[in-house]
Amino acid sequence: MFAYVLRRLGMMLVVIFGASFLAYNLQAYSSNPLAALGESQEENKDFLMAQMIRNLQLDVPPPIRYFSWLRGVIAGLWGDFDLGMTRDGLPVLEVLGMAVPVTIRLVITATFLAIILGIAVGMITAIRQYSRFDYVVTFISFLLFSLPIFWVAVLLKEYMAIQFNDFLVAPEIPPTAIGVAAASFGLVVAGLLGGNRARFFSIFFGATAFAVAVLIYVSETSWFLDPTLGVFGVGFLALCSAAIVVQLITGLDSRKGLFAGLVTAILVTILYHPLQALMPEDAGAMSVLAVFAVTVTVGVVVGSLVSNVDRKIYARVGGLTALLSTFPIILDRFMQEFAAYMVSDAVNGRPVPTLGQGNDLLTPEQQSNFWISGLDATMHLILPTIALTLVSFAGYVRFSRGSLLEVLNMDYIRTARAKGLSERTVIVRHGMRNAMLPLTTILVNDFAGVLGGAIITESVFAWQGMGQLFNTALRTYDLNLFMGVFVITATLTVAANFVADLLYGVVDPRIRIRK
Amino acid sequence: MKAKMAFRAVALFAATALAASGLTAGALAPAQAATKSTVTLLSAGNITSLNSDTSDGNSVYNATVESLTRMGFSYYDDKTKLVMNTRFGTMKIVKNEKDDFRIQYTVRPGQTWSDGTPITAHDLLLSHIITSNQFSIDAGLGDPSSKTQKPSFDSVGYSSTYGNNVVGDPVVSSDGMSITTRFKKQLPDWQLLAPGVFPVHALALMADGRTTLQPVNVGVTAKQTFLTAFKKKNTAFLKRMGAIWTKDYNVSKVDRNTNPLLLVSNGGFIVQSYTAGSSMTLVRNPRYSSGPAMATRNPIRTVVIKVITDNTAAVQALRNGDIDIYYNSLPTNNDRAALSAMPNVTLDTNVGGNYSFIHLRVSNAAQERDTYSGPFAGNSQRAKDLRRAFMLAMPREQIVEVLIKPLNPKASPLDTQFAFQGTPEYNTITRASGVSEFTRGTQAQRTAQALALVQKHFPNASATNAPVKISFVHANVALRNQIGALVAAEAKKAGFDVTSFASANLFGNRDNLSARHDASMHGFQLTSLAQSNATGIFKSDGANNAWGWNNPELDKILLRLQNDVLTPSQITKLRSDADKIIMSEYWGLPLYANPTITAFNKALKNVKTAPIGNNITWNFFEWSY
Repeated sequence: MFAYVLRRLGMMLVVIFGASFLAYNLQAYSSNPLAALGESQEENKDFLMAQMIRNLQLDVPPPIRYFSWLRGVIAGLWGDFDLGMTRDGLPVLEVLGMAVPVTIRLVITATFLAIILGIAVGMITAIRQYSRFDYVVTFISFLLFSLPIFWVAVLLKEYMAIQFNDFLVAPEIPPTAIGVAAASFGLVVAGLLGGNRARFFSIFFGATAFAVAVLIYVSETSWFLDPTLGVFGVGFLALCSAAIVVQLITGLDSRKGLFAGLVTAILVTILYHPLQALMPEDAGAMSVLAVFAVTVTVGVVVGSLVSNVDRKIYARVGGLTALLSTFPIILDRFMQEFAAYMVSDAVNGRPVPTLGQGNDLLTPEQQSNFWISGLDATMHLILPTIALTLVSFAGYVRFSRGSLLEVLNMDYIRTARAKGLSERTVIVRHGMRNAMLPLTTILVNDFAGVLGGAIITESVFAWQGMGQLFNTALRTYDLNLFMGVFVITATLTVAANFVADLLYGVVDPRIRIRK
Repeated sequence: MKAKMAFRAVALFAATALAASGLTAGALAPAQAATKSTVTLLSAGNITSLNSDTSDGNSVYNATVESLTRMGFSYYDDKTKLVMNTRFGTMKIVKNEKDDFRIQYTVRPGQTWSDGTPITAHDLLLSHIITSNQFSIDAGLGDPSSKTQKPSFDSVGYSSTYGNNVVGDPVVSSDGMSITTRFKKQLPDWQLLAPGVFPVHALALMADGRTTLQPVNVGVTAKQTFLTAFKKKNTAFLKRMGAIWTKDYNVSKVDRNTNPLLLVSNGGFIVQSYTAGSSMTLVRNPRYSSGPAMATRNPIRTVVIKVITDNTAAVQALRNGDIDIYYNSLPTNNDRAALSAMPNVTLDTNVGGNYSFIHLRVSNAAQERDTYSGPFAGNSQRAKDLRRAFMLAMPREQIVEVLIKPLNPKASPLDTQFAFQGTPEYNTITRASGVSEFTRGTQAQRTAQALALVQKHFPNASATNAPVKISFVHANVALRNQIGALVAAEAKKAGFDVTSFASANLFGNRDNLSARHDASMHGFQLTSLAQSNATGIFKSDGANNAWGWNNPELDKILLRLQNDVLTPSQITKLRSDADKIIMSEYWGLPLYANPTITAFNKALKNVKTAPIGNNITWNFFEWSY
């Protein structure tokens, strides 16, 4: 095992060295930084050219220049790591150090959302293979799969930012819009829950009626101008969370599980008012954590009090229910600041921005109200997150659907059914877990890809992350910056492959890493 | 036990419930006043430095920031007029002899930097350090044109007219409010050579290791320290200052940890915060007095500059109010259509200091590897006839009508490279230059003339037979490709078989400007309206003469434009003489002045685009809501 790891690490170094040498030279030969000066009308054009040749060492052939760059990398062995300067005279390390967190902030939510939603929807379609729902999801995922993200971005900006902000001037939803939105909601819910025709239609009409009621309420109270969930909203969402958690962990037919989930949901709802005290204006991330700590403790305690046997399972039900139903409480706290956020000078009544990482005027540095600066960061994340989720969601849907279908056709699933396990147990315990195995590889690689940045997304949403740096490096022939981004992405990709191989040996007992 | 814990937790929060509801109710006061006072600008590229004079920081995006934080002797307005900023200072010629030309620059007393230190003539001296090669060498700061070693002040200003002509160092007057600079000859564009202003006290304080703003008296002492170092050429001290000037102004972040001495400003605004590639916030400078007074009604208190590299994103951002002013020097029809459909936006089309032209190759240019031997080579009657024919067949009116008018309804073909349309000079020059040969009659008539000229040398040429092979190179962008197609189609009727080379990297690839091509299409950007403008293109040894043009008589005229102090009418005369030669040599024709688009929030008043210099920010003081 040890020798294997060492050998793999050695190979990684060789690969990165070779790749970086190639990349450096390809980039150096394909570009000419002097080009921009070609059109210059400056009277000291010749001097400017000579200066650039001197400062960028353009008179040194790239293969040799590569080694002076490599020296800085190798100096990292004795703690003197140096990736050189960008053409703007900033240390590449400093620039990368700023871009990495930005990229993570931009991509991580979308990646998680896409994975969770994608796998969930994918597996549901596998369970209901060849149902109406399956066909619709398949259609939609192929549609999303083929959408170019810059175009998705343009549409999202037009409808979810510009039109929505215009709509906020007088937020009354016209009746036809209510009808269409409610009916689509009904269709989605009915499709998700499935069942025979009668059940489908009753769920459809129920969900539609519910949506109509909510939308009319939202429209009549100008809810968008001062949104709130209130105790009732929080309670409703808590109950929904309880239902999902219970169904996944114990099944809704387990009375103890149901009891643990429902009591936790109700307790969290009761805690809604008292918890506000934990979230003052100048709160920090710590207070959010404190709220979670309180509710999850309550959930775990409730769960473990429910039964003397299988305590862990019910504690998990309680804890997870509490965790999920706390999100609405936090969301509600952010909403309480929305009206103040709307009238601030930086927002000026148009809360959904089309681009940017955040309003300078509302960063934590300028604005002591944690909830307003948090709200601002969130508003800026909405569109890029939706865009990225939409585009990468489809891949996970298709992959997890195929994976689960394959597992469900296995002999051991038939055996599990034959010995009389409930369908829920067969699917959740024996099906889903095994279907996750092949997904590990793509998940690990996708996370490595995250740091490479989303070049187009960052560009159209004006985020300065790794992708944008790469883009800039290419456009401005910034060789050191290019190599900086390259080193990080190349190392991560190679390392991710390695980790995926190791992880596979851990999660799949059939695979053993030999010496 | 566990039940007890749960109960306690519930009890604890139940007890605080009342206080909680009270707190949340009181927290909803508006964040700021209801009247908007923030202008959000667009930067199409990253802001990387607070100093745009270094080789690292030399970009228009950094210069935009500087235009808000530095006010000097002059600026260009929206009528391309060089406005003398007397609120800052004045300049005058104090000695006007052939070999002794002296100019005195005086700073208006009573101005202060944003940290309270008075602005004096000391602040004009850094400009000399960063533009005089001789000073850099004499003070031991390194030869700026060394091939191996950077000078201490790694500036882009060396080896220019100032550095090549200045004699010795500027002399500071006894009251410390003016400097006198001596040049070895009379300089026509002396007004453009005025020194820039820089807070030398801040630089000197930083060279002493200070990292906080200092009281005024410390600042004043620092000025003296600087002056002494400048006069005595104190290498060690100047080198420390040079290192800071060259590197420390490069920023990826400005926040409360940033050395405030880097942010000292005499412009309307002070940089307050910046996150690389995202946005910069500037707040009003309460001590601003170096330029025209700010608007009194609803003036701008905050300027935010958002870095948006994607043009479509910028257009949508304007529509959504994420930015207040959109500017594009290379707009497309789609941009214009999208912008003019916006209800809350004022659209302004202008021309930038940027124009397009088609030039014809005559011989090989300086330092050329290949020898040019195409149909336009040399000055034989045949070559001249063919060049003339090609120019006659250039469908300039059609190009403007089809491709440029949709962007700029006021556009018309540009007839000279020496002046802008709409100026009196333009009319004088074009009336005399002989360009009328290429504007007279209809395009069909001119193309017929062209065909006749071609037939003199290629009798088999006709509207259906094109024996003259022309290789035409231009950038690979949609507009250029469309123009290329129009040119090829029209030239074909005159017997030219035009092959277009659309290059993605026009100036990057040497071969594009080599003897392989007979004609090329470019755009040139004017950064000032110097008297010597365009001489670099047409002089036989001009830095931008890539077509092997050479006419001794023209060189003589251009040399006068470069060197002599002339009256405006003399300049116009020389320019029209020059243009006359260029037309008679048949070297090519200008096409049009490139349109620019400015679109801005309707609520914002007094946004005007200046074709030259800092296009949008030049009149920030007039902006108001």
